[in-house]
Amino acid sequence: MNETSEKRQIAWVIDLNKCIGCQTCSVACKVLWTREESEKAQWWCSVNTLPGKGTPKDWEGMGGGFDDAMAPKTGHQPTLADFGGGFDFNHEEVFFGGSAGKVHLEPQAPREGRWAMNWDEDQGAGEWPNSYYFYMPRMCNHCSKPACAQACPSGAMYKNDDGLVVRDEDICSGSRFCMEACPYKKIYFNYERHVGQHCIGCFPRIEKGVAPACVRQCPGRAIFTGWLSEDGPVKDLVMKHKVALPLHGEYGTSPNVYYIPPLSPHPLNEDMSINAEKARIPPEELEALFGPEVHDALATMQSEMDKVRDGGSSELMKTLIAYKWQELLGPFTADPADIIATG
Amino acid sequence: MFVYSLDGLEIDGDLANDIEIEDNEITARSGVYQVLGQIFSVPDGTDHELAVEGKWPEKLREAASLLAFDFDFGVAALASSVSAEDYQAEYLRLFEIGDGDGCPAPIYGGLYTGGDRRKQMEEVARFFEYFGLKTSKEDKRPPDHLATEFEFMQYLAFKEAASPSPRLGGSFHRAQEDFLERQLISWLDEFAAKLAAADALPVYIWASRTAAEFVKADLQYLQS
Amino acid sequence: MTKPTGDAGVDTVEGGYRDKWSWDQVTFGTHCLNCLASCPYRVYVKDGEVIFEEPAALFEQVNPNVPDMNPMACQKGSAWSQQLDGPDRLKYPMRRVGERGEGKWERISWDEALQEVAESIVEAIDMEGPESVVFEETVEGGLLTQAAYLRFASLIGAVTLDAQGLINDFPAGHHITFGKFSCASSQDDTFNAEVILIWHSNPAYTSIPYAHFITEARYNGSSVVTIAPDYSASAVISDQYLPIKAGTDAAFALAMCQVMVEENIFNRDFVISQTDLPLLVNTSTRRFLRGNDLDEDSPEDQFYWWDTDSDAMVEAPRVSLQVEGVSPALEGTWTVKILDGSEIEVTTVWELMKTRLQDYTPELAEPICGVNPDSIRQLARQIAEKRTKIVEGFNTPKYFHGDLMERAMILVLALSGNWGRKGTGIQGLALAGLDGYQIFGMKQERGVNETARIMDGIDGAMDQLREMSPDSTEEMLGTELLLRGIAAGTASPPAFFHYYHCGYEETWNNAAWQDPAMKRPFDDYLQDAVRRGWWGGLVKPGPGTDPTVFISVATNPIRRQRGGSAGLLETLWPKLEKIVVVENRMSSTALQADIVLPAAMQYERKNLQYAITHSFNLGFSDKAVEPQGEAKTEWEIFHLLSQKVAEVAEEEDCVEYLDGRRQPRSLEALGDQFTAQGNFEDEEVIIEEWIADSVEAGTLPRGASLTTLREKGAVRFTGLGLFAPGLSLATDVKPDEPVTAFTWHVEKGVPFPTLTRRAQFLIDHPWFAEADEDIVRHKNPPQMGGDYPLLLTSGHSRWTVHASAMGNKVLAETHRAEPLIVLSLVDAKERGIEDGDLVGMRNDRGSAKLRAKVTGRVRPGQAIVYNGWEPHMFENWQGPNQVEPGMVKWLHLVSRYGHLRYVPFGWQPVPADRAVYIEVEKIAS
Repeated sequence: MNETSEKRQIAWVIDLNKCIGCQTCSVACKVLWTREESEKAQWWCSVNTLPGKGTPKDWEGMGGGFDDAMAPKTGHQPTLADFGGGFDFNHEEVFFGGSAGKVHLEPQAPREGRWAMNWDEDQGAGEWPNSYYFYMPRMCNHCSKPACAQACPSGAMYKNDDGLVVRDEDICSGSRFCMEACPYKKIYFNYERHVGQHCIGCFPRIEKGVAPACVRQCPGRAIFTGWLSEDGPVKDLVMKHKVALPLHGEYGTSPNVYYIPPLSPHPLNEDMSINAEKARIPPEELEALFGPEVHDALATMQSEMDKVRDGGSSELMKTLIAYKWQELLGPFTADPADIIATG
Repeated sequence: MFVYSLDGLEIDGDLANDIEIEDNEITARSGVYQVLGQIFSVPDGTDHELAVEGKWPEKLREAASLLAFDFDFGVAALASSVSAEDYQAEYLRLFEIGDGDGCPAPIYGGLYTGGDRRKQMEEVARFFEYFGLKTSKEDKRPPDHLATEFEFMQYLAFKEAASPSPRLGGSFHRAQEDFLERQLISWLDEFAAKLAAADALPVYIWASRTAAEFVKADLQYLQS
Repeated sequence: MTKPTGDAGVDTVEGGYRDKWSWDQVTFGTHCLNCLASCPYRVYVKDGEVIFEEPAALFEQVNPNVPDMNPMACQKGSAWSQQLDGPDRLKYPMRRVGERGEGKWERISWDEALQEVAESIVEAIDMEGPESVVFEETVEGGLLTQAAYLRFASLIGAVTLDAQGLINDFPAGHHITFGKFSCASSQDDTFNAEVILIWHSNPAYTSIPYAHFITEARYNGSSVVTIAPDYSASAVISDQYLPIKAGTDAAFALAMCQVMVEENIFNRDFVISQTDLPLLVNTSTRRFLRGNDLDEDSPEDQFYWWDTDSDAMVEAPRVSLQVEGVSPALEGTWTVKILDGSEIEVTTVWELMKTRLQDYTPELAEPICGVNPDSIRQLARQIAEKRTKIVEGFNTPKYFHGDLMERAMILVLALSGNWGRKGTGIQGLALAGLDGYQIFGMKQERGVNETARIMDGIDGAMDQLREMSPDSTEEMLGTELLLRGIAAGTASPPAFFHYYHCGYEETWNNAAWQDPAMKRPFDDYLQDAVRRGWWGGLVKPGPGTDPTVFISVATNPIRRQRGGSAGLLETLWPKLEKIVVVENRMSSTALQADIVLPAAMQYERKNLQYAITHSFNLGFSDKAVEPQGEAKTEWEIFHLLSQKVAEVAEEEDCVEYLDGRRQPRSLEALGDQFTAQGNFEDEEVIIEEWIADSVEAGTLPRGASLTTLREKGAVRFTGLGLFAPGLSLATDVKPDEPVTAFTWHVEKGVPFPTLTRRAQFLIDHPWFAEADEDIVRHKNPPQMGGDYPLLLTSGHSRWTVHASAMGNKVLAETHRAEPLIVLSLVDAKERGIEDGDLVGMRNDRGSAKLRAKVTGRVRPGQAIVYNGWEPHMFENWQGPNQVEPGMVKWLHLVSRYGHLRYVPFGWQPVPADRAVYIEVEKIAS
């Protein structure tokens, strides 16, 4: 925690042109934080294919957040079925129970309505050869105007000095109003302990100068982190180059996870020639996600890439390449292995 | 811990002492390390005599007669007032046992370089084994003891001189470079400084200073 | 929203998470070794249990203009810890009770298990000879696993089936053209490419640790083009997507070549110096003009150019590719007088190639491959001008005519001068040698004396070979040295084992599934090859020896074997007296075993990864925790087994025997031999020795040791190694540059290890000529599986390395946790199939049931089943390999043609499984 009690805001910038949907960020988070049986179906960080229903299923239609006047909008609490997953399997029977090929290994869950964190992976939209999709990692946005904390009746949720929206699980009464209020539906419920849980922003790591697990483990080098208002790639991408945009800014919560929108190869005409006039991903769909600023952001990305291709130099491109991996980590460059064992 | 004299040391099935090698610049170095190893072992009566008569520097010069580079071994003698028992006691106090308050100048390299000493000793032991020295149960010196490290250099130089093939000779040559760089040179300066600060017997101050300089000159020679 | 005042609550819960992120020990570890990347991770341990892992991310930036390798990771590695105690983990030795595959087991002691295995081995040796004891080679498990079973097999004279003939990551086309298949630069070299062709690969799925070099290159001005039938995950991160019909890549590549030739934008100097295209051929026979055609004393592998300066025929140099004082022609025909005094007409290979290319103008290629002719032209022009790298995977080898695709792809690179320079070339597998590991097999004692003795011995042998062939390059000599040892070794190309013992004789003779252009039945070719002794000494166990004991170590034939249950379970299994599986998880193969021996997993043992050149680093995996249950390392298992075998042999009085080459052997001291009289019992000692010896050989830096590896996790190679696999990269290793393959060929003019000493595009072997493949062309995939409307393709999945993560419950949640067939919207609709339906895929080989995933990204006519699903995840345990006949291409039986001869892990017949024809029908919703 920040000792001088000066408030700062940690932010993430996720470059969707580098994200390959590998799930390392989501798995890194899960193995670290939600290993308990009661947390089986929790994926504080999740990666979904868009267009798609995502996780929880059809979350974009579940309401929450604020309206233009900053009044809370009704939200719907996702159910266990909406999240899906948490499968049990029949390993024992298949391997050791003498099943002789008559039983095969499969999830022991009802087939009807089955869902999981990444169920609609790589389905996308459109039709070959002009189908389109891309990947979107999502974690708690640690919003500057957290609807969840506002909705919390017991005062368990608050924003700490690093800008993380944190929950005191001892105070949490399990009302789940936060789940209704969060428009991103990034809050999970632990039925065993009767508390809500969500991405903690890896605060134990941040405290020690170690980047969040999702950032540090991302093999695509797609996630930047840092203080929003201090010099660095995060600030540049959001404020200077303006290529990093909030997801569903219209939800009104001022999220602090930003996205660089995805470019895509041009679609093809009937004769398989390239249609250089059109974008593969319909711009209106990107606008629905990132707002009207997305068009400028995409144009900036394309023109800077063209500049470099023509032999010029681009600060934006250099920032996005991040020649040294540590550039992605902002001030959180400490190596966890150097920390003497704690606890 | 190791076979530290060539007595009984077998090389390719032949007893080392039976192997004839012409004296040359390599055997000269082997000889110098042998003497250095003796100087930094627990001294007995013979060692005491040598020390009092000022013969250590002489022995070094003798061994170094065919040395390919110039080196001044200096002079030093033990005061005749220091008895053999005192000499030994001083050795133990300075280097191995100390005086209740630790050793003024511990003679174990691992204590100078930081990190996990046990792991480092394991590494050194494996390095020794790779180059053909098998452990001996008789001597209880750990592998990072200065005398052992000098004996190892003695051995490596000898093996280089006695190598049947240029490749093997090259291996031993490189091993000496590596060993000097990673082990001896990394701590001898500090060791010598500690002795000087501890106002030790002049002969030991001389020996540590000389050894510290010699290994550096030797490495330079090896790398050229 | 203010902070609550109750301190205790805050500290407790926040303390709870802080406590979660605490440990008492950190080691280096790696995992998923079958992936080859073997990313260096740190493993965090608390109270003797691994609680999580995280990439170590300690790589130094090699060059300031190239992004560094960090963090090097993927989700499978990041969840490896979950598998140590997973539900499929094997912890105790077990013996089957009931029938094979019944799934009933009794737990037995190690002693009992090894006794039983030893007895079966001794009996097999006694009755049938040691070649009736058969191992599959594996690419899993790391070096200590490899060393263990290979050593055991070698000591008793057993057979190890060559891994390439089993897995088939062998691009025969690379070997046909370059004389070697391993030619991939280090992955960071991709950043240097101006045009990146993602072709027959899916790096977004399968190259996760390295894919960032592609996305970064895009930001650096590079153009990324994905060429694939479906709109793959890699197309998503590309600048351009070119849809291609599966299996038609040769036509597409040749069309690009045609454009480069027609528009005269090819790199003439490069073509002349690097390839056989200027060499003279007899126009009527389409065979190279050779030395012994002209002069009795000239060597058979002397080839010729026509020099336009002197207007005469000249010898093409044998010792260098550099072209000096001569201007070899590419076009023309001439007359030369041959030995018998007659005159023949000669032309160049180039002219033959040009004629061929006429069949592949972009307009003619379009109906074959489906790529728009303008797109073909545009791309060809780009490639001709810019540094181009083909990011190829291991997909082409698995196509029946993959070799034609590869040859055509390489021709594209040849015409545009795109190898041997930064940011060029073709990717794929990149093996290197860890010299210490190679030397180890020959060591009887520890220490540098032995090392020097062995290396002196190798030098001596190389000197001898050099004297016999003074024109040979180091690479060629290295390969010859390797080949000297193979007859006495254990390796055998498994095609013959499959043919004689596993029922593939019938499969491969099924003309309906073979190339219709074959002039004779498959058997004719195989018997021909055997009769001529082309595979002499390598066919083992031969037709007269019954395989008796089958030992599978860290490999999964029941899942992988093309041909499905017909291939192994129904044909081979009944012949075997004993099936032993050494595994750490209950795989499909373990389910079918007689004896299962539990192996330690990564993190539970010390190990070195394979030496590969993708990252160019050697990684060390430390022992972080004790093995689960009674699991042991393979080294320990085979040591114990060796001792048991010696004991049993003594008891049964079967100590002395003759091996497959009629050489006398003895089992008496097998236990001692295994550890070289106790020298190599401790695995840490072994690893240390490998490292020290590699330092001696110059492949690892001075000062590298187990200690330094424990501190840093990985160390960068300083050289390619002394042995053939590493030397195939043919380049200098610079500490401050990515490793670029083939610079020796391009910058120094070092010849290729081929018959013509050049990248070879004419294979003038009669079988190739008969097949009209002497010069590369396109051929449609044979109708493997029968006449069915959908083409089944595959690729490695995102979620597991082969089957190794199929029991990982965390990873299972990142997909649907069950086998899927991915279908296009069109094909699904036509068949009334909806997403999630249970469907059956079938053809004349077999069938399997699985769930449908319907998406617009798949090309109509294509169906995809990604690799790795275990048969026991399907009804009746019939997995996707049921529909894969596993055809082999008869041309890969060719041997004794220059560079076309068996090399371990190289040239041999390999099984195809891509582009199999199936039908898919709905079974249930």
